[in-house]
Amino acid sequence: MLKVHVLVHLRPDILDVQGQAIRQAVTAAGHGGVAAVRVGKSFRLEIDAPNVEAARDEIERLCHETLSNPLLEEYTWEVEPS
Amino acid sequence: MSARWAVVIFPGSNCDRDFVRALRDVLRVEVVEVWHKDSVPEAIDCIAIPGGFSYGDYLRAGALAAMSPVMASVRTHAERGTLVIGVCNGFQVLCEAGLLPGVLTKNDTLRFRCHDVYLRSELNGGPFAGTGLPQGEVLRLPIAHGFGNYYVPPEQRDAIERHVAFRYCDPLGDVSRRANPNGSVDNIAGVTNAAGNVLGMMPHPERAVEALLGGTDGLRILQAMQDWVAGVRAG
Repeated sequence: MLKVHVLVHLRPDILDVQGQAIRQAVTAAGHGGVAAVRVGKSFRLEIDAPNVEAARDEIERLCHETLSNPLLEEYTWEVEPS
Repeated sequence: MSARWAVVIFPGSNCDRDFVRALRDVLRVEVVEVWHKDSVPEAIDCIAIPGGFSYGDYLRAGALAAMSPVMASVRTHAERGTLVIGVCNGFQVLCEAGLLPGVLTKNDTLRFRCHDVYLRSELNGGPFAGTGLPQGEVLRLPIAHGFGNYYVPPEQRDAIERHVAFRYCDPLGDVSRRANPNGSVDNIAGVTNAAGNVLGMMPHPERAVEALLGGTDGLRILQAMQDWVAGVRAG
């Protein structure tokens, strides 16, 4: 099993109101050094494939068409040690 | 003969009964309810995708419903010219399915907004306005959503401008920043596809069909759809 970790975030040009609210709250709680917070989603996939090359296209399609909405979001993924 | 309607129901839909009641008891038309695992029948003139929290809003609002089996038949109908109206979560589903441009994201206030709003109709005739809802007319309809912030990237704004159906406005029809409940770009509350037969909107026309319950402005949109189908049939 190939273990893949996908991270999805709002694109840098999209205002992250949730992240902003969290930053304000942690600043108020005394964490004055936190300059910015961006909220995202994390997905851990287990894919039945012998290696990353065999699965690359499918992972890309999955990230682009399903796990993120490219109008608002961007993604990164990496293979984790199994 | 009146139009034949289908109301699509996903697990987590919660405005399907409102829609069925508005259509069956107020507009007095024929309605079939279609479960998400089934297909919309061939002989249908109008499809309603109702509000709610389909699939618990998991992943993104509307994203999983957009991939459900019933949507293949909705897509076929839409391409054939059947009228499709998606309200609230239904609007989110149609965007995620690629049947409408753009996407709906978290309200910029971070609050679930649940109250009446005013809308200016930008529709210039067509299936959702006909002659009964002139361009510039102000409607009052309820909203109830946490993810109603409509977004299209700047490079697509010009292209969708002609397809904006409704904008949030004040009671006099002025499209102001203050009248925008959720941060939607250009106060957009509803859009159609390029062909003009698919409409998505965040406010709920099916909840404004009886004077006793606060207003009948929603009926004007549903009635326009009825009249359109009757007109097409009459040739």
